[in-house]
Amino acid sequence: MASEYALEMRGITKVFGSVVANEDVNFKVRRGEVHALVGENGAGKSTLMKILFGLYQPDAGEVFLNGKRVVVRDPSDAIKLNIGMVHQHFMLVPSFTVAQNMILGVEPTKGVKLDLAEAEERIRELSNACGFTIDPKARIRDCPVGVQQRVEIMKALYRGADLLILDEPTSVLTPDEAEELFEIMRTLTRQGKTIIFITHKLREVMATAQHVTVLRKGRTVTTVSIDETCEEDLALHMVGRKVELYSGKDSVKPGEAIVKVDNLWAADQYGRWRLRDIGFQVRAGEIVGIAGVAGNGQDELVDVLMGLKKPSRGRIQIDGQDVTGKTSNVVRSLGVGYIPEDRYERSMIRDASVAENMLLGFEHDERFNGFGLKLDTIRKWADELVHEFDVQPPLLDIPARSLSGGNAQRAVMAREFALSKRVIIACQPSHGLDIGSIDFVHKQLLDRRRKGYAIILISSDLEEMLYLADTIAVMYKGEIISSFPNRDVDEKRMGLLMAGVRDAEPEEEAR
Amino acid sequence: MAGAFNLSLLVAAIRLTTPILLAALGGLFTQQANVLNIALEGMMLSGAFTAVAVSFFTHSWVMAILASVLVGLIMAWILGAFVVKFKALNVIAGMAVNLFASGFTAFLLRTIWTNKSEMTQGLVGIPDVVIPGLCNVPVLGELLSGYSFLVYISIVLVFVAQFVLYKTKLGLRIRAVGETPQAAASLGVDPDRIRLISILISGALCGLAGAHLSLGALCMFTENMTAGRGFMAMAVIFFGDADPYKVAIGAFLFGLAEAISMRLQSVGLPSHFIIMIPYVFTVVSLIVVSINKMKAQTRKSSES
Amino acid sequence: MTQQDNVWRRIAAGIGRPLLAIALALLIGLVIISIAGEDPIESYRALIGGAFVGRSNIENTLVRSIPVIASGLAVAVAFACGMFNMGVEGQLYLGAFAAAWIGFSIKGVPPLLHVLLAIGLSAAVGAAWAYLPAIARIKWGTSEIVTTMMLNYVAQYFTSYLVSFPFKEPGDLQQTPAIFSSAELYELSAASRLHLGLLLVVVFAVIIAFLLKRTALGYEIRMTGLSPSVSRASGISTDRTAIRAMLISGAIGGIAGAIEILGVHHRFINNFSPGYGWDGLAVSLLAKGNPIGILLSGIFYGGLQSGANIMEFATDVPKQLIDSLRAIIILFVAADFTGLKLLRAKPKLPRGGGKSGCKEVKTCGRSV
Repeated sequence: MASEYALEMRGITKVFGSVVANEDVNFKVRRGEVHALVGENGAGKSTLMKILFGLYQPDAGEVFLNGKRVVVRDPSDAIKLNIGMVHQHFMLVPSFTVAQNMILGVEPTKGVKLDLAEAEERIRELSNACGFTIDPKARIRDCPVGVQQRVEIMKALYRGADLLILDEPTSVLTPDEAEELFEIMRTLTRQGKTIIFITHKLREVMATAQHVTVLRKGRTVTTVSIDETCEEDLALHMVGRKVELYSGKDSVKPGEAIVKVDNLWAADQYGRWRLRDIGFQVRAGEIVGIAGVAGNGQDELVDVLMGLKKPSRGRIQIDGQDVTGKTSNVVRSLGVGYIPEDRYERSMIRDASVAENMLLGFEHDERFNGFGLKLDTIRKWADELVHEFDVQPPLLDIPARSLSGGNAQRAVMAREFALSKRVIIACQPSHGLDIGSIDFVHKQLLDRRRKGYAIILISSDLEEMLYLADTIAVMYKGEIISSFPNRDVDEKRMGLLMAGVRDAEPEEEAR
Repeated sequence: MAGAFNLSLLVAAIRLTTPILLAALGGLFTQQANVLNIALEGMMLSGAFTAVAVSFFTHSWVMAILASVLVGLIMAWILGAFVVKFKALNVIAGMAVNLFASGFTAFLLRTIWTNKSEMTQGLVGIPDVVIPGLCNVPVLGELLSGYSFLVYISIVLVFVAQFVLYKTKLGLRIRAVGETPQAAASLGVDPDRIRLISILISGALCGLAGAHLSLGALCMFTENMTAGRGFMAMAVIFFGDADPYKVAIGAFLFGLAEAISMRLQSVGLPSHFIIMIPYVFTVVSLIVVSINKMKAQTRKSSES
Repeated sequence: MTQQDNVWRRIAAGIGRPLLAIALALLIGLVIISIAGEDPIESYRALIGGAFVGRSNIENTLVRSIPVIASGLAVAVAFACGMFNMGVEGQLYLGAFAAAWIGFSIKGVPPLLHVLLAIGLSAAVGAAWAYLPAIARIKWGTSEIVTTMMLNYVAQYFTSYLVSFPFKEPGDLQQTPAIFSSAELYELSAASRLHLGLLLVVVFAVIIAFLLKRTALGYEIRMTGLSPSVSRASGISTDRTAIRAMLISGAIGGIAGAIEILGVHHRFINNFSPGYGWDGLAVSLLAKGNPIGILLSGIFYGGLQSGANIMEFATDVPKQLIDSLRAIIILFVAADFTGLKLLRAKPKLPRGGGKSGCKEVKTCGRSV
């Protein structure tokens, strides 16, 4: 054999506009192993895998398969090179049978007719070899999620894949289903297949992988053997080490509780609990940080708080008013500013002008309505905001999509800070920004804190969390498993909590 | 007496069904590929004109049919190019194709046969098919024999469409692209190519539908002679959920409604409500389908 | 929100493409006319002269353009909210009948009030007709494109029934009795029948422009059309906004029919519309939904229609050629040629600091 490595990616760099998604990434996978690829959202995992699968072309770097240099131009090249990918969002046709999904694109035919019988036979053989049975005639939409995933894996095997990429395969599975998946993964590696396992669930990494590579901010942090690491180490590699100490802030004496959340439960569209018994309070002049590895219920918590998703149980009070299950305009009319993670899904309209974007949420404001909208007043006001927050270029008539990430974020903050009276919810506010903008965002948040705002900060960046938050609550699987004042934290404890290991000592009361 | 009335009504309904059925069989392929095709009307009209023109100049109904299919394909190709390649909204592009067909066929009619708004002379029509033996059987003979050639072809095509859609590679790909294009794309099936093919199929069958209308049913061409049948075909496709058998049933209901309303008109009774029924039914069934879909979704989420 | 110095550049950007499409279509027409063995220059002279030269020609053009402009405005409001109202034709028929009914069945009403009553009822009927598809789309996700289109036929057959049976004027023609003169729109010119409706559609265009650009509701309509998800997260009630947009759209569609009846026909005539609702869709597309642009493109459209008649009369070129050219214009305006290498290779125009184009970009919500 040419090389002990089934895959080597060397010096991979990929830049999108001003954002560096991958920077000199090196990634080596041994043949016949499960190799975990971990990192936060936006760390560059999926860019790297899309390069491998031919969906993106790298700006620099080389890919070697079994020691031979290859160029993957598109997914069909990847399939020809025996690379298979199981996407996080299944690529299945719901109304088709298992067999029909399997053969799509490589249909066996007898004359002009599809030869489904042959396909079904091969599917039985394949599934037996993997150690499970599957009915080739079952319709995908009737299959449980776990079975659908097996179909995805088999699709890759059907096309002769030797190297399998599993993109966050367990995010949709129940624990039992996940356990079965791991068994299948072991069976496959015994048969000589190589598996790249993308995840941010560290327990699963420890349970299945032989090696693990951690990416952070587009770079390789480390590749280690599983025997030489532990969950806490990995968690810290993922989120970065604490560099700045709790000192840069003025001390502000928190006031009364403004946001009160009690016993909050919410389920996702599949009916699984995403929030379990969430309870916390945020006081005036306090920043409460919700920490945790992404996907542990933070998004759902924000949606429920902002009135974009109805909770199943529990109570939310803002400024003394019950807003449980109220719509977003009710919540916003109470003066809740919202800086979302996904700007163009939640707060900026690409094809509307900057001025129009600044008006979102203000269109019924008395100041701006007389006989129709007072455009001059609005422009003057928008212009002030744009200058106050130093949005570059400071133009009102350009479409929002032409602003850079940092400037779009400044514009969002300008508007939301203007809108908010006492509460701000900020989600990954510095995600994808340059250093200068991050600094600006932090200063603004601290400024509002000083002015007595109640601020909820959701961030997977540990540095940011430790720098800004007064109180930190750690979410794991939809629960707040611990909350404590910032000064009480140390890296090790944080790592353990984020990996879901509860404190041994009695938990501090969530205020 | 009443029996004869009913029988001839059925025969009339079958005759009126054919052009709608042919166009709908074409359009169901685009529907399955999830391309809303409102250009059936225009492609059909182009086919109708071409059939008459080619029949006039070549005196061959076979050539006329082939030419109609070809012109249907050309119109479809133009539509496909604008929708698939130039990303025009298919509703707009389809409307433009309809408008173009309506204007250009009338223009050609008047240019070629100076200042006429219809063309009736010197045409070789598509022959009727008399089934030997059957034509003399009392009821069955009248019901089953003596229709124009393309009437029988359209019935065969129902089964062909069913076969292509559910038993062949192309059908599998069309349905996959229609339902989840990203899944098809991830397996190397180019959704744009499949969409274009489906549009071409609809063009060919609409050309055939047009040929039947002008040379099979009537042996003449008049301006805008499709008179909304392309839109009826669209309604039928939605009515039948783009399934060939259900579409055939839907097309027959439209044909029957048309036949009944013609009867009523001839005796001076209001026929408007009869002819309205299929459209109302289409709207209602569309709404019911979407309500069911929504219910299925919420049920799924509450189950687990 | 327009900066003064940008106004002209915006206008140039807004009409540049339609003009290019028109030029291309005319070029294709030129080739076709030549092949047909006619003189293209002479034909075009007749076409343009017949549309826009001389008082009676201009008046004819304006008469033709009135219902098209009104329909175009109806389409534009729904479109601004990301919805397709393909049902203007049906709303127009029902509105027309409602107006005619008020006109011929109520006697002795003061003129202004009579007209207002007729227009009011037609607006209500048009809005009601658009309500069902709007609700179905918002509540259950039923494609409003198909439902509005199907309902056109229902409306057309229904009015056809009304005018053929219960409200038929005795005689051979399928038409209602004439409306009382108190319900007629003031006639500006007896020869061409140019009527006050012209002023009305201009006023409506201004009102719609004001609504969309200068009111909170219009702002919410446009933002919902550009991005429903951001609008919802920003506290806009997108469902209610979309329904309102469809109601307004339907109301204008109804009014379009009323104006045509009260101004030109003075009674309801079976199948009186040669497709005004569809022309409105085309005109709205040509103007990219801009109400003032719709005035211009509507007049252009009316001009093509009336000019085509003159051209047919003066030369041997059938007027239907112009329909084909209109179709070609629509195709070119709707297409996005930026994918073509040929065009991409062209040097880019220098961009000033205040890059315009933001307002011109209309995403249509979805690909259907």
